[in-house]
Amino acid sequence: MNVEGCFYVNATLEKLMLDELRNACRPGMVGGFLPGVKQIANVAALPGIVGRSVGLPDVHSGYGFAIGNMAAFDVNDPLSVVSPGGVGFDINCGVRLLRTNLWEKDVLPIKEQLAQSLFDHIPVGVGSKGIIPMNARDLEEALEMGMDWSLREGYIWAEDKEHCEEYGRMLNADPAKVSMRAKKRGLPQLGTLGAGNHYAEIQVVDEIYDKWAACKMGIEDKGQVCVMIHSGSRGFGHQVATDALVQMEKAMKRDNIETNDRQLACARIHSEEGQDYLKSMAAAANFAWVNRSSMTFLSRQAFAKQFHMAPDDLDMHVIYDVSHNIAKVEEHVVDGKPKTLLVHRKGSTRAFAPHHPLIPVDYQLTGQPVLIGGTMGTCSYVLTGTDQGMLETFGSTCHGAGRALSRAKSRRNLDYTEVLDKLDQMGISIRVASPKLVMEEAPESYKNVTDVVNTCHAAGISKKCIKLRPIAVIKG
Amino acid sequence: MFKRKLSALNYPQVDSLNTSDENEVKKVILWLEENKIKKYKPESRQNIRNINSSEWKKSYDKYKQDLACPIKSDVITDELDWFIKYALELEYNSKKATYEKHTVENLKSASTPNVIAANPLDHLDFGGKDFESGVKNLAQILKISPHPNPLITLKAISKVVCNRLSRNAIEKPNDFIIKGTPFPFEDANLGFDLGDVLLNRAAKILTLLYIQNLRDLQTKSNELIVAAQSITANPKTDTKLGKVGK
Amino acid sequence: MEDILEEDLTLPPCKYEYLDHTADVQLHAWGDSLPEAFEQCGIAMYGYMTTLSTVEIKEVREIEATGHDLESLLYHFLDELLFLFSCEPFLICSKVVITEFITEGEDFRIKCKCYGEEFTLGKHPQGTEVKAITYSAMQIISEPEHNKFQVFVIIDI
Repeated sequence: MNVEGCFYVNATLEKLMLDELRNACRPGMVGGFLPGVKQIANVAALPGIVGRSVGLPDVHSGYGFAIGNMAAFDVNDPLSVVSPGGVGFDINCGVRLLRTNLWEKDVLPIKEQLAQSLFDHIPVGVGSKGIIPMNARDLEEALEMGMDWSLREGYIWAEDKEHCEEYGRMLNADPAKVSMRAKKRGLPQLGTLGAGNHYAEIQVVDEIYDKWAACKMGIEDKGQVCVMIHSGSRGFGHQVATDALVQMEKAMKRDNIETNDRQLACARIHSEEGQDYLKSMAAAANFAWVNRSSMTFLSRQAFAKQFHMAPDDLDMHVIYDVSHNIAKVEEHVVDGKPKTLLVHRKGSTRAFAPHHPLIPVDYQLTGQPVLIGGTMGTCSYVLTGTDQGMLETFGSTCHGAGRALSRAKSRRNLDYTEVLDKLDQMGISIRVASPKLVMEEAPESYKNVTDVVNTCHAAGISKKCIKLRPIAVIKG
Repeated sequence: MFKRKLSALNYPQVDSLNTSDENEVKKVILWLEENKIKKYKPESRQNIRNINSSEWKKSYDKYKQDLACPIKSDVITDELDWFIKYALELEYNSKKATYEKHTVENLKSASTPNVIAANPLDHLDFGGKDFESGVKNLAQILKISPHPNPLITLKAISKVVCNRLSRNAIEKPNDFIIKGTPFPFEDANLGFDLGDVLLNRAAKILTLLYIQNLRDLQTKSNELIVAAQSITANPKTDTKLGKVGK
Repeated sequence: MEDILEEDLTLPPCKYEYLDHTADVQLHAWGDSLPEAFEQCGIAMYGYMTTLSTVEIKEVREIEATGHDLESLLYHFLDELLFLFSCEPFLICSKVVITEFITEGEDFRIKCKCYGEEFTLGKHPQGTEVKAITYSAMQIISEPEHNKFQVFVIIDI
């Protein structure tokens, strides 16, 4: 190992983490991925890594890197690598939060209609296609311009861009580095929510921990209504990642890069494969931002129709938009010296401290808002970045709940009608494309998001600001 | 090509000069040395005076070296050009004061008619006691804390008058008064510590002013985007492309 | 596009199952030959996307996949099937028939006919979206002497 590996847990999460390890070490176990603990260690052994290989509290095993792993590589070290496994297949999967000036009492009487209206506007689930007309040329432009494309075409507001990581556009995106196959897969899916753990939720503010920070985000009091969108780059990002893995296996042989696990395919940052991946990854990131922007547009339409008011009058501003599967070049202080790092965040959210130049002017005093999406029927959180996080985790924190049960186990142990009934009893309207699979996404299948968030808060790597509770869920 | 420069130096045979004749060029160089450049004392100029001597070339090379002439050309007129420029430079420097009277700036100011300002403010004595106390009174009326420099106080007054006391602002004050929730300035995290309460306070104020500046800039950028959108934007959806809802 | 014959409409028996895995799902398929195990694995993947009994056979498409070994051949075979679904012609299949199966020499190759129809919301229930095929824990068991042909693949969902 080149650096230390570490992970943040509380007692409950520690047990889950060690159970995963114990299970994987049982004799005769031929499993898919290595357990998270081992994966964190393998990442710590990659060439050029600096600081620590950090597991966030929601960590669980994934392809190569664990999901919930942050690792940073020194850009000026010629041996340093970039790894698609450290970004994840769903490039720039992320969460966006919109606020409204509505209160729970305004929404409750028409909750069902509103949920249906959202469901009628946003294409969800396997095989759904986007309803914003686009041709191949539009796609090329969108890949290059990111949210600037959505702005130019008028799907979003100027202020949306302001409140988005990277201002919704990675400038190094190069659509020419993306395969035809990825573009073909991407075109019909742009503007669709997807399936799995992706969702759009109507939420209400349940608790405010930091009044001033909340007020900077336009959140005044408990009961205020928000909309959360959790989605990514769909098939496009997956194809980009798949294509890169093939290229990198070749590059690894050529450059004699040795890793502890074959799934940790990587290439030197400054090699052709490394640069090509970063350029196509940036294009996929732009795809994801346009995707979330299109759904922002559709959500505003849905609300506007139900309330017979313009989205402006409903004050439907984007509070923030975070990516939790991405690699970015950032400046950080390592051992007292400034360094340029390529920070991989897989299932990990950027959480920059107050006064950081890369966060929007509105959040200069509070720190960057960090959006933590819960799972179907559980709470979501807004955190803010801290100085301690900058030092310990290069400004990174958790991303969500993280799976605890396998999908098959969820299907065996839970009954979908029971899951739906339970949501109904909790007062949550649900519209789902594949109800029979709803138990795979039931809260019981995931780690407790409150445990995860509290651990980050206690460790000081981010600070609790707002708690949100869902009242309607739209998903694939 | 050397006519203007040589006549400026008052060379006597300007009109009849034939630069393709090497002997004539040599004569010009000699004249320049004897009348303008004066590198050598008159008694040591003998060697370059012998224009027709076979040794002349040698003396000339020595002369060039002594003058640190950078030109290394086979064409003697190139060198002539340099000698003339060198002579002109010496001439100019010796009578700098005389020549500078004739520069464009000086000529212009002399010929512009002197306009008498109609604006009474131009006659104000900004350093005078009257001005200082006037500004102070005005500041008191507008409830602005005065700065030791009355000009800075005046600037602040002008800002308040333009932003809040314009006709529009008086008619619709709500459009002009910035609304916002006060932020607990004392609790705000500065991000660094200067080790001195007063310095920290000052740094905090500077930070907040900087943030406000940045906010103005961002608002202007947003306005620009919106203006561009009015030309480019045409959002549409087509539900025939994909099926939504059930 | 070819015509569909009567015999194309008969569906093969089901020789696959879904196994337990943390974030994803593992397909386990078997058959009396390796091509059959591959075919079954393809159907297993489609079966995760919708209820196969709702799929009518109206269309047939031919795909080709190559690989440098058995694993990469299986990977690319499934990837081609996924691609067929992900964009034009958006085909969901209830039957796949491998017509050519070359596993010798430099390039391993599969040619395959895929029977199904365009995925239509409303007609076909939405299952889970398969995002990618993975090599992780991939196993291909080919033991002709025991008549044992099995494949294990984890798909990313």
